[in-house]
Parts: sequence; structure tokens; C-alpha cells
Amino acid sequence: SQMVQVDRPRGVSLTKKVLYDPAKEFTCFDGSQTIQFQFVNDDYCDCNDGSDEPGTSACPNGSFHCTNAGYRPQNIPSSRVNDGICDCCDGTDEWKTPTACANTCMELRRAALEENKKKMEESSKGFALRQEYAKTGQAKKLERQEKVKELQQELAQIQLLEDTLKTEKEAIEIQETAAIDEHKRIAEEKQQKIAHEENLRKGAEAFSEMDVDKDGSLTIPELLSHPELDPDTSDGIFTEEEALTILQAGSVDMAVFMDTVWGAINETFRTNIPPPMEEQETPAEDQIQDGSEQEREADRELLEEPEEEDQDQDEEDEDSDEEYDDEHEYDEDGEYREPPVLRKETDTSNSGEPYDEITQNLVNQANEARSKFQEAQTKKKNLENEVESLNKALELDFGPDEGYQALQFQCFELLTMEYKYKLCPYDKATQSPKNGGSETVLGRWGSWSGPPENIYAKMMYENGITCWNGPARSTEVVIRCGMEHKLLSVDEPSRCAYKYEFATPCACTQVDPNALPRDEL
Amino acid sequence: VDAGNFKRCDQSAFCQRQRNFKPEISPYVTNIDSLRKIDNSHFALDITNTQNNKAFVLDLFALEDSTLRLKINEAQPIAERYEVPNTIEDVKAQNMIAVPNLKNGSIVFHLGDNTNIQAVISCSPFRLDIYDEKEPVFSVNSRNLMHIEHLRQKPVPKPHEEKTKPEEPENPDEEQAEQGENEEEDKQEEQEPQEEEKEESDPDDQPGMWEETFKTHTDSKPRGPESIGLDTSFVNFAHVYGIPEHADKMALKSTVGSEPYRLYNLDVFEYELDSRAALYGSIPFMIGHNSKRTVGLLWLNAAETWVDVDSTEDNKGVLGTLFGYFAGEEAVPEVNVHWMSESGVIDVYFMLGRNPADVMRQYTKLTGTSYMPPMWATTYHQSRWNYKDEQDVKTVDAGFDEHDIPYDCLWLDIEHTDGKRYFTWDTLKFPDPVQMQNALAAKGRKMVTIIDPHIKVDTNYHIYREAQNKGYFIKNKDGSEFKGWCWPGDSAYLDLTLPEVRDWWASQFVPEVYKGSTLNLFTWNDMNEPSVFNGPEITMHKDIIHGAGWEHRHVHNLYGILLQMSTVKGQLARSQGNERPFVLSRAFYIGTQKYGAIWTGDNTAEWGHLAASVPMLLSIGLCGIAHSGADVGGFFKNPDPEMLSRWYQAAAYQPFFRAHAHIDTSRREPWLYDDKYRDIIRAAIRERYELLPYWYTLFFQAHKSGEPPMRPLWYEFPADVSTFDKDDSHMVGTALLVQPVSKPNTQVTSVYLPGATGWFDVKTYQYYPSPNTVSISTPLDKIAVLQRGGTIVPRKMRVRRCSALMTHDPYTLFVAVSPQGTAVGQLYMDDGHTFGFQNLKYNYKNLLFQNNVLISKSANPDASWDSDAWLERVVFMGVSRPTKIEMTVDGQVHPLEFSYESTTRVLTVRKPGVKMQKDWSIAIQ
Repeated sequence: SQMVQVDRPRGVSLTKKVLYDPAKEFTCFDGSQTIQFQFVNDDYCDCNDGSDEPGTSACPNGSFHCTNAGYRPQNIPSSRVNDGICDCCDGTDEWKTPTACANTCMELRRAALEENKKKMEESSKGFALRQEYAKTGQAKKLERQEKVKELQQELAQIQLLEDTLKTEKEAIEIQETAAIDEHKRIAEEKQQKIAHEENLRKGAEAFSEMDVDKDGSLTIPELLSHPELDPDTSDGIFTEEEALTILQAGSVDMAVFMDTVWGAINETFRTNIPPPMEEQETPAEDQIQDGSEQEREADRELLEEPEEEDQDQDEEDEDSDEEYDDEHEYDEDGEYREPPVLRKETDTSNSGEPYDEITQNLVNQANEARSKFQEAQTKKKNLENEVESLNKALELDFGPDEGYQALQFQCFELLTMEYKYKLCPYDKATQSPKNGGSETVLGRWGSWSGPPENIYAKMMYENGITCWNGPARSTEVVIRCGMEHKLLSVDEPSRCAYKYEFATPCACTQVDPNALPRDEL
Repeated sequence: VDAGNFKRCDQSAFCQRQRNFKPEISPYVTNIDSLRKIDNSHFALDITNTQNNKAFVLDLFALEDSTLRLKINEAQPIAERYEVPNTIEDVKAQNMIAVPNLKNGSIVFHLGDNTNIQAVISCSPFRLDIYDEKEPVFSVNSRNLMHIEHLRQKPVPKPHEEKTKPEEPENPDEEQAEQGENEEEDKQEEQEPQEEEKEESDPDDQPGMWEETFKTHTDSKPRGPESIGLDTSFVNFAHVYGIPEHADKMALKSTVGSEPYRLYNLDVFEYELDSRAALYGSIPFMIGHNSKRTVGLLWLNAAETWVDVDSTEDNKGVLGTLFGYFAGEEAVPEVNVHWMSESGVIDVYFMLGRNPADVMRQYTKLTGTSYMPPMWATTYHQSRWNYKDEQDVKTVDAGFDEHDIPYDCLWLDIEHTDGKRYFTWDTLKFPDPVQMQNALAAKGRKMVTIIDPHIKVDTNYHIYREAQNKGYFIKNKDGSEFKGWCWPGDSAYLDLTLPEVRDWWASQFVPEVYKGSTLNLFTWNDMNEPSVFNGPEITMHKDIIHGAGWEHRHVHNLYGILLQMSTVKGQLARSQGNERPFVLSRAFYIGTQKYGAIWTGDNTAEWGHLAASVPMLLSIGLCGIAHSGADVGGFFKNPDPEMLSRWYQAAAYQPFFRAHAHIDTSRREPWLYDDKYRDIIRAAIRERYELLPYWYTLFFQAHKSGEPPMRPLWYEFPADVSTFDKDDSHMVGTALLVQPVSKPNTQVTSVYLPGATGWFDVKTYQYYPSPNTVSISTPLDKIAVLQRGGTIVPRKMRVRRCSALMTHDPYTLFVAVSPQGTAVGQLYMDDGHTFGFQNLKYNYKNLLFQNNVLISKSANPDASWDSDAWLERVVFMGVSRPTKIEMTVDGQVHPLEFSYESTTRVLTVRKPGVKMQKDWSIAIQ
């Protein structure tokens, strides 16, 4: 190790030796001053840039070069020269006390070579894997792009179909509406007629009930036996005068009664004849019950199926959102059941009047048109969703060679003393107590966040669960090369700001043998 | 802060009673006949409260160095009244003679060693006036507010008796006949109805005398009322300072119509600014200052204390007229101070000054001068709640080296322990703390762990178990162990009022007992007010019992200092007294300076808190504590990088320089910011390291004579009235004026420069004549720091990783020459960590520049400490270009190289090379 001793000022590298010529005056590197050469390394700082004191601690901004023969040469701040701590492996920084530092360069060299050998192996293995991932990733990208194209064609077709079905549906619906309206009108007329007849019947019954002496004419005293007819109930007395204002004559016969009186009292009149109990009450109740139960039954039938379908669809939506699983969605594609259709006949069920054959036919036709149209709509929606999720996946940055695609849909775990940490790349980072308990989201996929020269050095997961009294949790994932995907460590340097270290072959690069210490001296 | 957690005066019964005590004439009288000479420096007199015939004894002591002590206690209290122990140093007495003046019923006391000082006691009513050169300076009880609540038996309700008992005339003979408690009691009972006649309300039965409730806590007050009150006027003063700790201005404000200043050590969450409310520390010391005189007054009491300051304009001339001294002069200002304490005796020390340094010397003679900090403690400290594990410590330590930022000490907060059991480690996170400390120590760095006084209740925890077995915990009224809630949950509190408990605590610090500690590990005592999360006002119940039988109310403000004192004792013991301890405390009291450093507690990352650090630290410094600081960056919340940069720039010039942050804040290590800010922070820290020789000299001077390293402008320019309110700028020693930036985007700072000797910008060397207000450019990387003409500041310009690595580095002297062509300075050097300096192992150089010769001469030729450190460079500011420079050492003369900058008139003398400990001179021709 003593073979080559280049004569140059202390702390100067070989390349800068030429700038220190003992035969000449010394000019500071920044040109600010020229000084006698004996002022170089005289332990006094003359140059503002520190260049006159490469071998002492005199300049606060200077640097000291250690050769570190056998190992890596190093530039250390001048402040570390002669401070009692061995910084250079050749010990030259502590030249005032030459015995203070043992030369450890060869030791470091051996360790470094070993370390480098290991690293090299890892890196090259990792890099080989990375290339495979890249191939898969690129293929996957292409596949997705193709799929999108395919689906878009399908979408165009279904759009045409949907338009056609819509036109058809609207045409038949116009006929359907007209028929139903006509049906309604007829039904209403019929209803009115029935009501009118009922009123007349009740009037006649009332007349004969009130005409107590059955003389065919209704008199004021007869009327007075029905106090509910008292127009002024506040005084509690039904006077003859009041009765007269109702009858507008001393007595009226049936015809006059029906013409002029019944219309005014049919709301207030109450029969004094007690109704036969069994016959009148029970059937009425039954009817109400039956009616409502039937209605409920009908409601249930109408609601049940659609509900099930809704659920299915939700689940599938969730699945596809979470997993971007195009295959899965494809398989299920044809199986979507009819969406809910409101059947028109239930609309009119209250009137109890079934449609005539022609109308019913139109309703049936319209239902079928609607159902077909909705089927097409659903299919379109599904296709659109599929395209969207594919596009989302295509937008993700899987690295310059698409290698990181390999990490999608995977999760990696790390157990610490207290917690299970999880990283699901392109999705989320989570933490859960080791012995069970709910998962806390430490951040959702944000972006690659490395420095501009290598943005793929870090990933950022943001907007996790908000800390009590603090910010939303976030996780920075530092990526480095490794022979397998592995979550190496988890740290929380600031509260709620997590830091993962993750190894993956996707980050491996080809090893530059020049980065290693050379074997030759 | 939730202000509702803490009392106002009107929620503190004794404060309310004392504040309401406003008689037209003081009921307290004395008489010349009772004058007794106890010894050559000590006289006694009897005092009577004419309202109830209670007898008191007054003691007047003359102490060395223009100091007087007034003590008033009950003549025969039914129980002992509390007197503060361990606080006042052994001070020499001085002779005093008393000259009674029967004609006007007064006694004049002449202080023997200093004929200028006289104390005059007027007998009826009692009043004490203190004169310096016949000028009145202090006046006591001239506002009639002296009021001592005598101890009494708790009255038992006697509804019939009171009504049937006939009114009896007061019998003056009765008092003499009565002796002992039973008679006292009888007399009291007899007097009760009488007093009821005299006053509308019975003075023995005012609200809160025997029980008091605040929020959910009831204070049982078994001894009843025992508060004391006294007015002390500062005559011819408009400015008073001191009585920390308050987040307020340095000059005390008038409290008329608002809350008094409160002194009661409390853990206040997110404290607010501009407040007279109590904080973590209490020092009842007040300084009065005017353009020709500085005086001090110490109110020796450890109980809850409130202080009203009345400096309203209305006061002008009231006492001046009374004295007749100032007749013909303009209305003389005065500050009337009303001291109110919950218990104890009246014990007041008057320091007559006359200049600021005199008062600090007098005060620290009484209460002790500052400890001599180890060099490393005066540097930059890195802390946060919490550096989490050994890896974290390693990474942060490495970060400083990577970014070439010096630091000396890394701190570990409560999370480093096993479940907040102090003296233990979380062994998962810190499996090998010795190795961790050794790794830092290999580079000369230290560590600090937090050790708080609340002890987790856990019989498996050795500290708890041992202290419990020995009965060392504070007890409830019923004798059971007091338990309060703090960081570990249920906690017991050591009864540090007992010497054996303090010794036991001290014994815990030897590495064999404190497992995982090394001699490079030091201590931080937090929460020692004490903080009790579920106690009244977040502290201890006043009626719980300490060992000697005193209630907590009597000793409250002492608790914190007792812990720090015991910890210091422990650190001394572990090195057999060789190594200097370092202990940081949050609570503080009179004399804390003897034990270590304090900081201003849990401040906030707001510009206002950055600004408030200056007046707060100035007040603390004026009360003797040399080593104090505020958390850099603010404890709560996240500072933006500009604020953090400005904070570092300010704190680099404050005595205790530590970055610290709450666990909920983002990490703040300087390299986590953009390079621009990192560089500014690095520059601020490096500036601190460059100035370490100056700081260390200032700490030595604080240790010797009590002068605070960080001091107000008026301290150096006592005659300049315009400095009296100034607390946005401050001095570091006699030489440097610092005005931090405490507002965003401050490109220019307007700086007032006092004195007539001019100032030099330490960065640009630009000269500013003075007195003058100047605008100084303060872009983000610079604040206003100026060196005063006529001073010499030593620096070490080679910045190392930490101070230990700078020991042998050479010095640079910055000589700022005054218009008269002179400059003076000092330089102190020692090994930085042992007590060798107590055995003359140090160098203390007087530096003097006059007649164009700079001379370095040992102030004490007997002292010497051998050091390789040499003189690298001398920078003269404000001199003409010389033709020749010669150095003389050991009789040898040799020329020196130099360079001269004519625009700034700066002369740099190159490499004198002389060993710094030698005597030498450099002549400029």
C-alpha cells in the first residue's frame, strides 16, 4: 500500500493536483484571491471557497479528499479533519494524530465486494424477473386495449339496437295510452251511472222511511223525527221553521222530494232502521281485508324480483370496481335478468274493470317493447362500465415497461409486534390489529411520487382514515429492487404519515459493474 | 386554553378577601418601646392589629450588599406558620444601628456598611420606608394593605350563646393574662360578637375561609384562613419587571380593574398570550428600574400568590408628596404592588441596587447563582415527542451529519419508557439503550431521557414498589396514598419535601440502578408543577398532606424545584461529583438557577408565540435563571418553513436552544424542508456554535455574579428611558443586540440602537451610529444582530459536528472599536464538563483594546487550564488601515499579516497563532 505516493498537498485529489503547483502562487478556485503557496494548507482560511485549505479544517465550506486506497475515494467536509473521529477508512483525515485511526479500507473493500456480489446476483435475478413481468404487463395492456376496441364496437351496435327499440316502444306506447284512456273513460261513465242510481234508490228509501204515515207525502212533523237534519245543530233544537226551510212547503210528495229536497239532505240523513248485523258488517270488513291483502301480495310480487336484481347488480358493480376483473364481468354479461317493469293492468285494478281484449293486447305489446328496450339499456350500461374500468386500468402507470402490472390485484402483508400491515398496490395501504379487529385504511392509491429523475422510486397512498385530532392518514411506499415482491418494513415517522419499504423485481435494473470498487489498485 | 379550568382572583377566596381589604387607616401599629436589638444586624418590634388585638413580631435584618430583610409573623400563632426552607443562601449580615425618634414616633435604622441606606419605621400606623441617599425608594404599608389572617380555631356554631351573651367592653389587660391555646380560643369567642357589631360581616366568617369549592373539587382547609397581604411601593419608579411566569410583556402592566398576576405552578394546556394567568413556574421577585436606579424585591413565599400592580397615572405624586422629598419636582411616579399569598409569613427582601448588575448580584447572593452548565448543554438540542426507537435515533443522528448540521444532544420523551414507568425502557423499541448512547457519545454527543415525578401505581414497577414500601408518597388527609391521574394512568407522587425521599430519588440515577443509562445520559423533569390531570386546576389538591405535616397548599410552588434539585443530586452522585449535571425542568421557583435549565413549556407554532419567547425569557432571566428557552418551532401545531426558519434564527440567540414538538405534529428535522430553509436553519445553528465561546463566557459570568446572558436593553443602557418597555429586541451579554423577526415576510426590521458607541452588523460589518432607530435589511436568511461599539466577542469559526469536537479549535476575536478607539471583552475557557474550574482549572482572559493595542491578560493569574486552542484571527471593526501589526508574547515581538477592507473599515489580522491561554498583545501601527 505504500507503493504509490503522489506528491500533492494533503486532502487534494489526483485530478485536482494540477491546480496546486508549489512553484507558483496559488489562486483560489473562485478566482477571488491569489496567495503565496506557503499559505496553502497552513491551517488558515484565505479563500472564500475554501480551496486553499484542502487538508485542514480551517475553511468552513472546504472539503477533504481521502484516497482510501483499495476502497472508494471520498470527499468529506473540512470540518471533519482532525476532529478526533475517523471518517476516512485510510485514517488520513486525522493526520495530526496518525495513530488514532486504523486503516480499515481493505476490510471495507472485502465487505463491499461481498455485498456487491450479493447485490449483483439479486439485481440480475430481479432484473430477469422484471423483464418477464414487463412482457406480461405489455401483453395485458395490449389485451385490454383490444378488449376496449371490441367492446366499443359492440357498444355502437347496441346503441343502434337501443335506438330502434326506443322508437318501437314509444310508438306502441302512444296506442297503449290512447286505449287505456278510452278504457278509463268508459269505466268512469259506468261508475257515475251506478252512483246516480244508488242515490235515487237511497232517496226513495229515505222518503218511505220518513213518510211514517205512509200517505205518500212528507210533512214537517215527519221530518222533525230526524234531528240529524237540523241545519243549525248549535242550539240543539230542530224547529218547524228549520224543517220548513228544508222542505220549502208544508208537505212534499215523492217526486218533489226527489227533485228538490233529497239532494240537500242526502249527506246528513241517517236511517233510523237498525241494519241487520250479520249481513251488513261482516262482508264489508272482509272486503276491506281481502282487498288490502291482495294489494299487498301484488306489491310484494312486483317488488321482490327487481330487488333481487338490484342486489346482484350492486354486488357486481362493487366487484368490478374493486378488482377491475373484466373476465368475470364478461361471463356474467348475458345473465342479467329483466329489469323491473311496471305492468299497466295493475294501474286500473282499483276500478276492478278488466281491459277489453284489444286494450290488453296493446298493453302486452307495450310491456314487451319496454322490456326489450330496458334490456338493451342494461346491456349498454354494462358495456360502458366495462370499458370504463378497462380504461381506468389502462390509465394506471405500470412503469416504463409495464412491469408493475404484476402488482395489481395483489396484497402484501407484514406483521409487526402490534399490527398487520397490508399493501395492495394501485389500491390501498391498511393496518389492522394483529389479533383481529377492523382494518384502518392508511391511504388509497394516489400516484408515483419519486423525485423527477426517478418517479418510480416511491408510491403515494393518500386520504386514508382521518386521525383523531389530526390529518388524514397517508402512506409513502419506498420501492427498491428485490428478488421477490415483499413488504420489508413499516414506519410512522410522523403521526399518521406512514412509510413502507417495499421490494420488488420490478424495480431492479441492470447492474453497472463500474459502480463497484475495482479489483485493481 | 380552557380558562374555566383555572381560577380567577374572585374564585380564590383568600385573593378575594385580600383584594377587598381596603381600610382607610392601617389597623397595624407598633411602638418604639418594643424595639429590641437581637444582634448587631437584627432588630425586633412588636406589632398589634388594633382591630382584634392580635400580636405580631417584626424582624428587620441588615444583610451585606445593600440588602434588607423584613419579616412579620404572629407572636404566638396557635400553630406554626409555614416558612420556606432551602431557598435563601447563607448571606452575611451587616451592622445596623437604630435611632428612635420619640417626637414623631419613628425609628431610623442606619445600615452600617453603607451609610447611604436608611430604613424608617413609622409606628402608628405601621409603615416602613427605605431610603437610598435620603431618596425614598421603597415604602411598605403606605397603602394600608398589610393584612395577616391570624390562625384560629374553627368556630363551632353557637346560635343561643351568641344571642344571649351581653356585649363586653374590650379589656386591654385580658390579653396579657391570657396564654396558651385555650385562653386564645376563649378570647376569640368573646370577641366575635363584638366584631359583629363593628362590621357588617364577621371577619372571622367570610366565604371560603373554612372550605372552598372550585368546579368539582372541594378544598377542606382544616387550618382555616391564614393568608397574608402587603403593599410595597416602588417610589419614583414607573417600570417594574419580573414575577414570571406569564405569557405577557416584560414590563409589568397595571392590573387595576383586571386580574392580578398569579404565581401558582400549573400545567396549562395551550396557554394563551397577553395573560397574567399562572403558568409552570413562579418567582415572586420584582425589579424596579428608572433612569438612575435599579432595585429588587423578593417576596419569599411558596403558596399560591397573586400580585396586583398599580402603576396608573393617578398615583403620580401621591407618595412623593407624602415624603416631601420631591417637593417642587414634577409629579413623581410610583408603582404600588400588592402581594397576596394564601399562607406563610411576611418575609420580604429589599435590594437597593443601584444598577441592574448590582441587583442581579444581590438577588443571586440571596438565592444562588446559576449552575455552570456543561458546554454541550449550551449548544443546540434536538427533541420531539417522540423519537420512537433506536433506528429512529440513529437515522436522525445520521441526518445531522449528512446535512452537516451540528447538534449536541438528542432527547427522548415519555414514549421511550415501558408504559410511562420512568427509569425503564420500552425494550422492543429500545433493546440496547447503552449501545445507542455509546454510538452517539463516540461522536461527543449526549442524550436526555424524560423522568417525571408521577409514579405509575404498579407493584411490579420497582420504583413504585420501593417508594410505597418506604412510605415515600404524598398522603391524602386520611393518611392513605394520594393517587392522581397522569401519563401512566393512576399515579402516586413522591413526597419530595422530605430529605430522605430526595436522597432516595437521587440514588436512582447511578447506572447500576437506572438500567440502560450511561454517564452520557442526562435528565428532563417535566410535569413537576405537579401536573395531576384529574386534580383541581390540573394539579394537586391543596389539603393533602406532606410528610412533615404541611398541607400541599403551603409548599405547592416548591414541588418542581425539589424534583430538579433531587435529580441534580442523583447526577452528581453517579460521577462522584466530578461531572456537571444537566437537568431541564418545566416548573421553577426562586433559586432554580442553581440546579439547571427551564423552558417555557407547551407553546404553539404561531408567530405570536415566537414573539412572546423574548419577553418571557427576559423576565425569567431577570429573576436569576440564566439557562432558559422556548421550544423551537412551537410545541403544538405545525410551523410553516418560514416561521420555523425565523424561530431558529431567534432561538440561536436564546440561552437554551432546543427544538421540540408534540407527537401529533409532522416531523421537523431541518432537512425535511426545501434546501433553502434547511440552509437557513443550518446557518442559524452554526451561528450558535460559532458563538459558543461567548455564550460560555456569559454562563460563567452568570455563575459568578448572577448576570443573565440574555438581558433587556435597559440592563445595558439603564439611563435610556426609551428602552424600558422594549421587549422585541434584547441583548446577549453586553455586546450583541438581537431583534428577531416574528412576522411573516419581513424584509426590513426597524431596530432601535441605544448608547453612543455605535453598532456593527455582525454579518455585513455595516456601521450604524447611535443612539438611532435604523432600518436593517432582514431577508429570510438574516435577522438584525449587531455588535456594540466598544466590545470584543470571541468566536470559534470552525463548525464541527458537536461542541466536544471543538475543544482544540482556534478562536477568532471580533473587536468592535468604539468612536473613542476602545473595546473590552472577556473570554472564559475550561474543559467544559468537570468541576475542575472550581479548583482554578480554567482560563479567564480580560481583553482590552486601547491606544491601538489589543491586550489579553488573565483575570486570575492563579487559574490555568491547559488547552491547545489558539488565536486564529482577529477582526477589528471600525479602524483605519494600519501599516504594520506586531504581536508580543513572552517578550518576543513578531509581525503579523493582515488584510484591510476600506469600505467597511474592517481589519483582519491573519493567524496570530498564539495559545489562547497565554497573555499577549497585538499592536496596530
